[in-house]
Amino acid sequence: MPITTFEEKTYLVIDNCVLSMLTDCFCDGHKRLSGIQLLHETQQSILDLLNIMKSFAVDGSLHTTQVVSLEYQPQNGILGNHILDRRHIKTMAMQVRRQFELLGTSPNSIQYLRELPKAPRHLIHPTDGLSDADMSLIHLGLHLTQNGNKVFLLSNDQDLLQFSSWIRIQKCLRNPPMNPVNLEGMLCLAYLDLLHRNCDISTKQMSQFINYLIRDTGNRMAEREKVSLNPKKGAQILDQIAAINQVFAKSIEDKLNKQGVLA
Amino acid sequence: MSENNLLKGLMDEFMASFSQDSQDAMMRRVNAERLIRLYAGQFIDQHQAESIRILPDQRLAGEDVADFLVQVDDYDLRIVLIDSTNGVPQLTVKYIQEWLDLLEDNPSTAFMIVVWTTDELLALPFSMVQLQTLLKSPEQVEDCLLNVTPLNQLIPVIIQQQVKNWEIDEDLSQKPDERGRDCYSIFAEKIGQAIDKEANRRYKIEERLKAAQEFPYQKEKQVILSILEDALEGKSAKELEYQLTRLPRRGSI
Amino acid sequence: MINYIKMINWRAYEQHELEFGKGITFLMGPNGSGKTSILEAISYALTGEAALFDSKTRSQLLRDPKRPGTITLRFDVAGIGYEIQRTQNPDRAGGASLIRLNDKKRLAKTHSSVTNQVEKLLEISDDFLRRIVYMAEGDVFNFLNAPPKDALDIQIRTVLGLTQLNEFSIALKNSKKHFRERLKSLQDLKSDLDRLQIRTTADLDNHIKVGEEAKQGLLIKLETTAQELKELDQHTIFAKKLQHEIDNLQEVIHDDSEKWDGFIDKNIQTSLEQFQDNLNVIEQDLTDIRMALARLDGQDESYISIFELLEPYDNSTDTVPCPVCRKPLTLSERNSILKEINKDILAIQQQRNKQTLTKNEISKAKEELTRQINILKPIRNLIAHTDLPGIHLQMSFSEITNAVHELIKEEAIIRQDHLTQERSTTNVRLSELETYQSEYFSIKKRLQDFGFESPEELLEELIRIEVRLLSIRAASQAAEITLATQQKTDMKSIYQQIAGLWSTFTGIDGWEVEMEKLGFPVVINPEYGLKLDMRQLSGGEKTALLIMLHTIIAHHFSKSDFLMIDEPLEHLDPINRRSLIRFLVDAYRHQVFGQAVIATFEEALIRKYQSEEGINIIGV
Repeated sequence: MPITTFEEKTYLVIDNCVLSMLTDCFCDGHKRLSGIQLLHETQQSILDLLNIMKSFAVDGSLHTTQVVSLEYQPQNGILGNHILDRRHIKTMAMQVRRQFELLGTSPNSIQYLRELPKAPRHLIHPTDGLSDADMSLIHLGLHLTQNGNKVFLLSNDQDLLQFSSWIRIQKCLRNPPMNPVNLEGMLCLAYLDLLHRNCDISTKQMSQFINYLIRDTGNRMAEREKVSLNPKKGAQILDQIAAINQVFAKSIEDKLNKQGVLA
Repeated sequence: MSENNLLKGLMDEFMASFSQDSQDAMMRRVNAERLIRLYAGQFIDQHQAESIRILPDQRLAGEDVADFLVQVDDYDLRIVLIDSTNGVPQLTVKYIQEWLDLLEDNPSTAFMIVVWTTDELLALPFSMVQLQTLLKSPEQVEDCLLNVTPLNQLIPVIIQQQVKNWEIDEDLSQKPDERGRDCYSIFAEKIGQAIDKEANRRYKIEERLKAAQEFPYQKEKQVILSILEDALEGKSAKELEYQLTRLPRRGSI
Repeated sequence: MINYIKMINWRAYEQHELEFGKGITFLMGPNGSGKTSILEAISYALTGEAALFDSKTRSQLLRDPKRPGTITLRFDVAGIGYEIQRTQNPDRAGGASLIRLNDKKRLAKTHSSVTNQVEKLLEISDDFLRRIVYMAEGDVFNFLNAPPKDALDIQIRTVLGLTQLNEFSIALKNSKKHFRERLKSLQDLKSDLDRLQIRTTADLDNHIKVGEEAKQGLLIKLETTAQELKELDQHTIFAKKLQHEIDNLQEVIHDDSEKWDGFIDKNIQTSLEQFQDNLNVIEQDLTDIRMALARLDGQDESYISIFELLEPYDNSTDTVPCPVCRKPLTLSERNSILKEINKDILAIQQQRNKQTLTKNEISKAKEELTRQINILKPIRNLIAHTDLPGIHLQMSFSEITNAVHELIKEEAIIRQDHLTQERSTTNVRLSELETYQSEYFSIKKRLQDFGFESPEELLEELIRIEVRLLSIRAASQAAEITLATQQKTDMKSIYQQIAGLWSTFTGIDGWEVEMEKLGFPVVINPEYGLKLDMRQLSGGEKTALLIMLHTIIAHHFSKSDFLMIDEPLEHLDPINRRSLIRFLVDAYRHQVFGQAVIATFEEALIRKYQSEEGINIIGV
């Protein structure tokens, strides 16, 4: 059966929601801890992971935009439920931000993306569509394609990823050296799973990520039940959860094959 | 962003990575699926008034792939995503038989739209007849592939082709100021004048003169109009002739 | 606008009612579910007729043929509501009514008056309504299957009624011909009647009677003449016979005048009697002579027998017995006897000869006398039995001769000629009379052959034919004007609108209407050199065109803003079906018509429109 393996180093552009997810995930993983310890462990886990990711970046760096990085507010996640000094959280955020190469953008500098011909309206709408921050990531990704390498934009935002898929085929943006075809949007966990299969992230950690996502989804679903979630939809989600577990199991199997554990 | 979408998206990307042997191929698959959904969403928005529904089908080949069912009025289109080779559309005969079976089992499906994992989502529509032809003449497959079109252009064209648009001329809704009269009305008016004209002629032959003098105007007019009615209902000239040549009973004039 | 319908015992329905709104009402259901029943009910309510049934088959509209069926229809025109109710009994039409709803006033109460009132309200004839407003099942199919080149023309002409009007004109023409031929055959009879001055049965009978009487008179006269001629012939024959006899006698007299001496001037009868007397005397003498001769013959025979008895013996000594006394005789005695006998025989012979001579002389005289008598007798008989005028037996031969001569001359020349002439004349007159009479009889028969009892009936028939011919001539003129009017104005106007539609369907602009030589409009495209050709259209486009055509015509001719169509999609492929439904909905949106009722089974196509304003779907 064909299976994708990690092949080449690329530029990496990271969306804030990835950082938020990872923060919450690590928080969840360290939930036995509390307070500042929790914070430190979480921070460390994030930084470690970011370092791993850097090692797979063609320039050894992670990229994001100023406006996106400012959106990283760990206190809005699980950490916010803990009694923590806001200053410590801010420091943590700063530490994380420091891992990134930041590009400054302005609404004007990304306006052209909203004005592209035949752009999906629901995505380019200034208020109902992608935010300026989201657009800035696209802009950053396009900018980095000028260097000739692929650029992976990692996000959990399906709209952003969809827009990235659309952007890359717009011929009007093909102004060498810019090559939008080299911009690829990917879900963060999917990228991390590639690294995981490459044996660069532990299965344990990857499982943690997956489980966190599943639990988080389940929790949110449970919340919605109070306001009558469509039972059919609920069943659908459960099916998906089961399917992801199955697929992840394949991922693990592949990794083990690579390791020669499974003969 | 909903959790469902995230899970679904993750599932799609995982599946893409498990069906492709290269990053490029995986991303082609991922991008193609996203674009199909994007275009599907756009299409639904554009045609909200036309009740076109796009549903994930996921029944083809037993795999969890981005296949869609586009339901339009009384027919549907099935969009199926297949891998291209290095971004170039390819088609194998095994697919053709599968799709033919599917179309045969689903008579409401007008076309199978095959989409390749290419940047522009190059696609081709196949009807049952076309698939049958390709099955018989596989050598025509290569020629087929020369006609690929981006999916976002193809679907509207196909849908448009399923219905012709005959524009209503505004003039047609205008009611005429002066109405015409149907032939019966015109005739009914003219027959009176014509009878008067004929009856007022000077006749030398005694019977004609007497006929004109004693002409039973109302009765005869009624007879003629009644026969005309029968004519307008579609009676043949022979039947009408029979009626015209039947004279009233003796003594009735 | 049609608002409501209720059907009782009508085709597929025991009892069913429906409400209609503005816009398009789709009657949905499979075949046989009753969609057409509803359309037929509406047609029947408005016009008193159902499109698919005529007066003979109308009872088939009833679900239960033993009970009456009723249709109640409510509609409004210019904001005023009306209700029609019609009843169809199993064997005939039932009651009908039209009521104005706002004041419940009954506007009509018979089927025909309801129809008339509806026609006035909608400004459209019932026939037109059935032909144009209602497109029955099969209309589309017929249109699609008509010859492509002529389909539109045929349809327009049929819908406008021009095709039917043409049939009507043909019927008028043929009827005119029929009546002219009949008139011709009747006119001959009429001319004869006029010539014979017969106007009434009494005239005819009178003529026949007079003729008969005249004929009888002539026959009698003929008979008389014939009798006279016969008599004359007889006289002539007898006179000629007499003449002949007289001529013969005169010849005889001339040859032997001695014997006839004094005869000419003697009375014929007397002469004949004299001759007869003389003959009687001679007869007597002859008789005497015969007797004498017979005696002599007897004697002779006796002597001969004695002689024969005595003769055969020879001169021997034998003796012979005497044949009388049987005494033996000697030869000498025999010979002496024989000698005596011979002497006697000779004497007898001499007497016989003498008698015979006398007899001959007397016979001669008798012969002569008989001849004279035989010559005279015919003359006498003729005179006695023929009753010839001026000739009698008391006249002398010379007088008779003259009289006969005169008689022959007179009768042969004068009387016979006269009588013959008279007979001939009478025959001619009789023949003429018979000819006249035969004419009268033939007229009677000819009248009967034509089915007339009397000349009056013939005259009446002629007048009736002329009345009808007058109507037919008038109708022909009116039909011609109607055809011309519709061709020039209505057809042209309709074709102009079709020219506009044609651009829509063909995708080519620039269509115009031109009038061709025969006065019919045609749609052409001068720029591309094209002519309207139905082959340019698909089935769906043709159907759409047909519906638009009906709509155009309905607009053109009436206030009717209403269409009924039965199964317009039936013969179309899926693309054309969808296109047509969209077209119909668009047409309503563009107010091309205000209300339509369309029967179809294509639920899937209609579904998408069901939430739209003005689109109603009724499951049937």
